Order: sequence, then structure tokens, then C-alpha cells
Amino acid sequence: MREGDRAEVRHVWTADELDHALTGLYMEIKPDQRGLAGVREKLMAAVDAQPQPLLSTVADSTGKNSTGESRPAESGPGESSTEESRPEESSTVETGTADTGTVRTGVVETGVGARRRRPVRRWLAAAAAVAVLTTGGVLAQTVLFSSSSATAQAQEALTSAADVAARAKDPVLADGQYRYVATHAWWMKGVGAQNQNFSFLNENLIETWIPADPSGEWLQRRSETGNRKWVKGTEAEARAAGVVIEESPWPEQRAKGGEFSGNLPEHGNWQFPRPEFVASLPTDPEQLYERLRADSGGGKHALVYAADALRTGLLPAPARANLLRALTYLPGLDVVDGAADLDGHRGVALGVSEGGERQEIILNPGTGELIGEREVSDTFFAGIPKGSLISYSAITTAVVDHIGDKPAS
Amino acid sequence: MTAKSARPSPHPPPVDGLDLSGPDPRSVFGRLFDEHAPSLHGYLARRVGDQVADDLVSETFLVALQQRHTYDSTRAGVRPWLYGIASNLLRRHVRQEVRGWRARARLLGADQVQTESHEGRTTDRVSAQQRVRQLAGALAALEPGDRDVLLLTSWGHLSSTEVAQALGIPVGTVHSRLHRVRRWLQSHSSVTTSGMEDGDA
Repeated sequence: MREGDRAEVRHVWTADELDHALTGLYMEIKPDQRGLAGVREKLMAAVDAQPQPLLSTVADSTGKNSTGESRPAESGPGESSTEESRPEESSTVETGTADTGTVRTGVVETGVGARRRRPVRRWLAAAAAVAVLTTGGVLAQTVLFSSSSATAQAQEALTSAADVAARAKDPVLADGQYRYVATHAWWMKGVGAQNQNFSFLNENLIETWIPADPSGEWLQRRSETGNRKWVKGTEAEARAAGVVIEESPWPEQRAKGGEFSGNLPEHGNWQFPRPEFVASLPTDPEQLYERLRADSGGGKHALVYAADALRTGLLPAPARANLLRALTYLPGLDVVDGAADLDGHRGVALGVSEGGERQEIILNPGTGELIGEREVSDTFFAGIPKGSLISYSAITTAVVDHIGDKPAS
Repeated sequence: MTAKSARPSPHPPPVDGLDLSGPDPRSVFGRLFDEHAPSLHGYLARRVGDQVADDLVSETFLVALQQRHTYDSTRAGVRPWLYGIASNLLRRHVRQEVRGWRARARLLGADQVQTESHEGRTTDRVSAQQRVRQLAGALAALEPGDRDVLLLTSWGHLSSTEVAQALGIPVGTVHSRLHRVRRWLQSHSSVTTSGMEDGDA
């Protein structure tokens, strides 16, 4: 009830109000930067401690060796005196070719200090510019829809999926069992070097274990598998161009109540639909759509929010069915693929186009379940042809007996 | 303050003449530090406080030093490169950051009451303060990745392209995340915090 009331009276900020609040947050606190001097010293010490084998080619070509020790004759007092005589020019070859002398330390710092012009407290400065930038972004994505609901085909697909979903029985977890939700995602990543750009879909696996009592301890594992599907260029080309491709490590996370980031809204939201949140949603599909539109900003974001909620595994069957019915009111939503294939699971893809991209959800018509999402390029952009998959993810859910168990496939 | 200084260019040239993996790391990194450490520190301090910011700036430059041979100026500007390293390191402090914001939301709430009782009808100022407090609470509710996009843009003053470079995500994703996050904050900042007060205050 309270959620509903709030939705009625909610004041929506203008873009300006948001920017002002963002600029104002913490603005009155002047960061104490006295610590930076110490940080700089530490960095310089680390620079000095660096072994520099990789520089050997450069060093050799200048006739000097960076270690200083194998060619003592060339990195001795002679060099220091050169620097002292013209400290302002000490920035390139002479100072770097030897890296040990304390005399030189002072000299180089003088050079750098002399060149330091800008006091770099500039973050207050650009607030106005940022406002312009982000407002531009918002405007660019505003789309006018001529239709007032999903296409007839989409309405039919949604309604039939909703009918099945409404009849579905949610799995009942015994004490000690876990709901397992896996997102198998291919997200596009762009890399580049030497004025060449490459893109690939990067495989990610995110697994979450939710206890029978959701206030208990959850587990989440995430990894980049290293599998790649190249969209622009090939791996060989990218490597030849000197691109470094790395997977970032993700530590395993455990947290009570799924609070992995410690910042979940207390009453839940579309991304984390707590029972209280679910109870606050209108049951009338059209009103539910209005709520979804208001919360998400509408358009493809409404579809993203709906998918967010559906893939958590936290929405009970009646709420899932209602949400699918609500999407029949989403203007421009259309069936774009009657047999989309995600990880071997086939389903009906429903999509809405906006801002050069088409956002899609894929439903299993047999169960009414969300089996995944796709983003497809709807325009030629950055060398990526229209129709390219920008990302896709498949959702798998199961019930397992222990935390960390994978379902038998 | 220094509000008159120009907005940093969206594509700062690689610090002119600086060759990160060149033979003169001392001079190059000294200069890199002087150019970028203060603003990076300011950005980080707003997110996690001065002291953690000191550590993060230190780690960022040490990582930069170690990875200087893989840095490619045609692929990303120095600034997004550094902010990207810092964003990765910041992930370890997410909980602390969120606690800070929640505390902030309460603290600003207290300030606001005082202002009201002392000055009566300073409506504009109060509502601005109230918004800041509400925003602090709402920021706490964002996904870390969304928060990075928003704050790198708004506080770090990176362009969308630079944010994309810093976080290793496509520019289109930056645009759509930013759009989504802003829309969400615009409509939720007032809602989320009211719930949070109940629980935290």
C-alpha cells in the first residue's frame, strides 16, 4: 500500500535538479590532498626500484644502458653535471637512461615542477558542461512512438506466454535447498590499438545461489571465461596490432539476503523484487505497465526493467504472468524472431527499437519463462553492421541441494 | 573556487611528448602524477573519503607504472586509462562507499533540520539540500557499474567515449546505462531514501 501511495505522489526530478544534486553532493567537502606528497614520493621510489629490461632496446640505441651498472663510465658524474647545467631540458633522454642517482632526483623534480601549470582542482568547473552532455544524451534517445501498444502479434505471444506462466507452479524449496540462477552472457567489448578498433562478444558466466529463506546467505560467482566471438576483426588481427586482451578476475561473493553490493533498496525494486515490492505492484496489467513505464523511463528501458525482474527468479508465477500482460501495452514492441536460439533454448523474441539498438526479451512459449535477452544493433555504428548481436544472455534456473552445487545438466 | 577554468578536453592528448614506456619513467610519471593525481584524488575522495583516496591514488599509479608497457595512447587517453585502473581498485571498497553515502544521507538530513529551524523559510536552499541528501541515499542503491558510469561522467568529467575506454565497455552501453541511471535517479531519489531512513536512522 505504502509503495503504491508513494508512486502516486512521487516527485520526478528534472534533469537539472539531478545535475544540481550531483554537483552538490560532497561539494562542500574539500578533499585533503596533503597526503598526495607522500604518495608521490612512494611512486618515485617505485619508479627507481623498477627493473627496466624492457627498455634495453631504447637504451641501447642511445648508447646507454638503463641499469647503469654495466656501463658505469657513461652514467657517472659526467651525466649529472650535464643535467645540472640545464635542468629545464632534463625531461627526456638524459635523465632516464640512468636511474639511480640521488642528485638527479632533485634535478628532475625541478624540471617537472617548473612545468606544472594547472592547479588541477577542476571538478567543480565542468558541471555545466556535463549537464549539456547528458541532456544531449537523453534527447538523442527520446523516441516518438506512433502506436499506443505492442503489435497484435506481440500481444498474442505475450498473452499466451502469460497464460502458461499463470498456471505454472513455482518450485518449492525444501529447507537447506538453494535456487540456482545462472546468467550466461555474451557482452560486447571493444578493444583497439594503432588506430584500429576491434570488437568481440566476451563470454561471462554469473551464477547465484539463493537460499530457501532469502534472508540467509547467498553466493555469487562470476567469471569471464576467455571465450570470444569476434564481431569486428579477428583475434589474430587484434593481437598483431598489439592489442592486449585480458579477463578481469571476479572474487566469489557471499552475502546475507543477497546484499552483495551492500546497497539494495530496503523495499526492493525491479532489479531486486523483494516480496514487499511485488505486493506493491498493481495487478491490473495496464496500471502495471504505467508503473513500469514511470519507474524505468519507458521504451526499451521498460523492457529491460521487466527482464531484470523476471530473471531474478524472485517473482512468483502470478506476478510474472501480470508483467507479461503489462508488456502488451508497450508501444512498438513486436515479435522479431519466432524461433530465437539462445544456448540451444528456443523461444519467441520480442523487441523494441530505440536509439539505434533493438532490445529483446526471449520467452519460452511452453513455460512462459524468460530464457534470455538480446541487444541487436539497429544501425551501422562504429564499424559494427546493422543486425549484429551486441549482447545476449541466457538464464537458467534450477533447484540444488547445496550452496555452490551446479544442477545436473 | 576554480569554476572558471575550462572544461578538460574530452580527448586529452597523451600528455604531450610523454612516452610512458620510454626510457625516462621518473620524469614521465612525475609529470603524469602532477597532472592527474589531484583530480583523481578529488574524484576518489568524494566516493570513499580522503584516506582511502590516498591509498587508491597510490595504487593506481603503481599499477600504471607496472602496466605502462601495455598502455596504448591510440586506444585510450591517459585520463580514462588512469580512471579505469582506479575504478577497478575502487571495487574493493564498495561497501565502505555505500556506508558513507547512507551516513551522508542521514547527516544531510540533520543539517537540513537545523537550517530550517534557524532560518525558517530558506526554501530553495532546503529543497536543494534535501535533494542532495536524497541523492546520497539513492546512489547507495545503484549497481556499482552504473554508479561508475554516472560518477565518472558527472564527477570525473570523462566523456562517454572516455568512460567507455575506462571501463572497457562499448560507448553505446555507456549512453544507455547513463540514460537509465539518470531516469531512475530522477524518479527514485525521493522514494528510496524515505525507506532507508526508517531502517538506518
